[in-house]
Amino acid sequence: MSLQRGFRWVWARTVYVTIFFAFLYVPIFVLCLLSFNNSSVVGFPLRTFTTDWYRDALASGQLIDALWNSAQLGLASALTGTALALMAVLGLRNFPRLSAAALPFVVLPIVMPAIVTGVVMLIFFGLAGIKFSLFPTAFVVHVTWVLPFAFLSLYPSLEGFDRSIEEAAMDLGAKPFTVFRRIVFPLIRPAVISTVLFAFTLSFDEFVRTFFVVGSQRTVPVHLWILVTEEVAPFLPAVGVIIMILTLTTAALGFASSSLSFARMPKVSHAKESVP
Amino acid sequence: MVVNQSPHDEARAATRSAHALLLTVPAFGWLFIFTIVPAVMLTVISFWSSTAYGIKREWTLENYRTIFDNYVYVGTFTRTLRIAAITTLLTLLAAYPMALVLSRLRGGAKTVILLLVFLPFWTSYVVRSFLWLPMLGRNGLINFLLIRAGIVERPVDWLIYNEGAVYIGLVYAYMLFMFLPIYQSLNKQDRKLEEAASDLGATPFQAFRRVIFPLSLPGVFSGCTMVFLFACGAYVTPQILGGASTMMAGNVISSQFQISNNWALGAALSVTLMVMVLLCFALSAWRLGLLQLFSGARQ
Amino acid sequence: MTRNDDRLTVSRRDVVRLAMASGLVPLTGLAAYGQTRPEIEVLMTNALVGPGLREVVESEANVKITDAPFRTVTDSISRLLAPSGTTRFSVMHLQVEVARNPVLGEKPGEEKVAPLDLAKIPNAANIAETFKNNFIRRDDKTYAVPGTFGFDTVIYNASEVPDADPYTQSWGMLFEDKYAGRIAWFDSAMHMFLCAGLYLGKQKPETLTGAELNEVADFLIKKKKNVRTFWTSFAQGASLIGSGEVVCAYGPVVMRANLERRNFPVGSAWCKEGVLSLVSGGIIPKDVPDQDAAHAIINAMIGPEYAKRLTKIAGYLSCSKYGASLISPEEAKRVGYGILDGTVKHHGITQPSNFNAWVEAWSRVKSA
Repeated sequence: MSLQRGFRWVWARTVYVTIFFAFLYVPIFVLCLLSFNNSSVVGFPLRTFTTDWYRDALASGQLIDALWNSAQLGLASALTGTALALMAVLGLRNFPRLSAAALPFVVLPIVMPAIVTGVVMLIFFGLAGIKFSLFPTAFVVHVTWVLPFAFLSLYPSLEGFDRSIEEAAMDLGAKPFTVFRRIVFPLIRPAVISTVLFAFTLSFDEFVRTFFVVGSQRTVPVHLWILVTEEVAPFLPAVGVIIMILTLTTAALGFASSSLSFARMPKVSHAKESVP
Repeated sequence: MVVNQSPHDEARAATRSAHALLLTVPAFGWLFIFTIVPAVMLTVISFWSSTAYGIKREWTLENYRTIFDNYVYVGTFTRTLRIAAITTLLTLLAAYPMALVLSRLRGGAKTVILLLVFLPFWTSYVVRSFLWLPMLGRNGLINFLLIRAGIVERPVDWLIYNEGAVYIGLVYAYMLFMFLPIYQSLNKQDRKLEEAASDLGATPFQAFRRVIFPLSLPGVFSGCTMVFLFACGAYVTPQILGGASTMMAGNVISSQFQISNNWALGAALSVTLMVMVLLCFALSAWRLGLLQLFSGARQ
Repeated sequence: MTRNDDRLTVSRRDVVRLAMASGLVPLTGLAAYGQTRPEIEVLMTNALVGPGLREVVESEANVKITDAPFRTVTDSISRLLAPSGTTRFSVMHLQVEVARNPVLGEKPGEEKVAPLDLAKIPNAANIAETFKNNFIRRDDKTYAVPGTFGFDTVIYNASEVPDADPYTQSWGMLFEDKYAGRIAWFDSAMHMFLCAGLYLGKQKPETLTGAELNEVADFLIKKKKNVRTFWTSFAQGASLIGSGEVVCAYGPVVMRANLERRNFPVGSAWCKEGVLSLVSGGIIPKDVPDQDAAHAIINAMIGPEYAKRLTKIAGYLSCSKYGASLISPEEAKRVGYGILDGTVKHHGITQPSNFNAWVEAWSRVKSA
């Protein structure tokens, strides 16, 4: 490789990386900037500096209610979804062919377009006469949504799991649940913890499916959507920044705790993989 | 490691495994009740008729006839497929080089840049779609800069509320789903292969075309499938950025439920979209294997 | 956020809840914030229970109101008619001439709404004579009492459009080339076909035949090139004008009131083809519990205090006798009471007979 071509390559790479990160970060930077802009129109030019929008964003209490709702929903559905997935994985681990056959069924909620799931659950709960609200309708939708991800995330950790210790313990008369609690769970605990965190972030960011079944309660994404489309509030950027800081903090906490439990560089893909 | 297992032990283990199967009942029961049953209900309703007073249990094929006879709906579905395909291509073009660059880095820089790629996706999805309004609008950053630089006198209008803006929004929203599987498949490649290619006199481009790229294809397929599927069901982005002519299937479906109270037609449109997406998915799953397809969504 | 703590007025409870909500494990469980007043869910134009009006309703009816985001009248009706839709909202405020047939159902016994007990709505006695035909009744039962009155027209940015512009006297402003690229339409089949129909000279656009519907749809498709975008909520429409994205838009009075409150120079066209007028009233879906509280809300919304504040805050006029008596004659003329004395031409919004065909035609316009 000639020196000249090497330079050209490095130059092209630098330009590309710059554009890539500009694309990712300039809009976020603009949002932060506008959240301090003293203008009732979300946009340029910049006028004076103000923090009033943050006060307004918190004043109605709706944002805090939405955070509270999302936290409850996220925790409940992450724990339920992970528990269900863990049981399924434990049950299936001796049946590789059965697992392979069950997989398409398990991933169905991921593959279904969000809008179809929303509409389907609207019809389902509507015909069943169940009132739309956080619990149970949104909760059911969220558990269904996180369950396949939890399954896919736990499945590898129990594949090729050495079972001789369990067999030995059972032969010595230990009850299955004791074996699970004393032997299996300690070994897979890091995977379970990171799955719960992952499921929480998935639930926390779920929008379209939730929108159709949540009634008039608001989760964080629903609150944001209403601010964007129904209210067009000038404090919208401030709400966006608050949410960003909170999710970043939560993600960083999750990141730190899963690094601790893995005691190595965490798999970054536990980051929010929100699927609209 | 158990060396000698008697037939008796084996039988006992088999019984235990069979009992363990009971553990799968809650999860599969849950998925059956809240995925299959509602989908069947949807399909059934798509064959009912809709009146001004709600749905009626009168069987008809009218809803499907409306969809396939009417260029509005056929047009919406073809537009949806086109937008999804172009979005997939654009996302691939944007994400692949980054995945390649990153997979060839080492040490602290790699961790930092990887984090930088992930950070925007830790923000809320709705925020991510909204971000582009203050970028592209008449009061947006781009117009502001263009006017400041004296390139235009009045703000330009064609930056937003058209299909182009939808592409920007969708690429921004789905970038990670493309990046992740490609990065994973590039990252686990053995660097010795490249060295060998280079030793044999291949130029970097030849090495890429003959060695690196073919080996990353599973990641590419996985990313493309994911982005394509999600883009087919897009609802938020076209609604916020799309303007007057970029209705996608998701928007048409929601309007049947929210505006015209035509649940039967809405159900038929949903079934059509569902079948379309499931077919695409089955095709790639058959080519690639399910676990590989979800490599980006796993762990 | 921490940076601005000195300027934030967040109560300690809010801070605690924020901390718990932000992903830290909630220790106190689902400890609810105690409320003695019943919490009532309503669906109506959100401005009707916006700041300034909500307090009146909440204190007079002794309830706490939660309002779901309102989209369009057709969306609200669609939610009412959906399976188990009659259990979702305790009060809905709907345009009576659009809602009349769907809420009554095809024949007696199929009503989607509960008959009102007028003894619990004493203020109903004060409804102005003009609106006596806007009750929803069947046999000897009353299902809706008219509450608010308003109209839709073209709303424009008065700093870009002089009031003397002849365009401000016609729906043509929304269609013709003069403001090409700076126009926003309402994403609603019913409203767009009604105003385009009036503009094309149809006297009763709600009765368009199939051929006429196609004619109007073709007209809209031809004029769509002039449109920048569609709005789907009042606030979004107001924001499109307020931010300068568009110069004019299809606009209900609530949009004008929104912009006026922000001191934005907004004009409201007096279309010679007739503005689209509407009377809305409260209904109670038939299967909701809190019937008493729902009656109290409807009563409060036609009471004197509510009437006094209504026009300033939401732009609508009260159907009660108090409404007109509380504002000056010029103000009354400006906000649209001229419709009532016949000095402003108007056309009442009515549910079209073949609405599904309208929706389909509108999809055709949108995807063209």
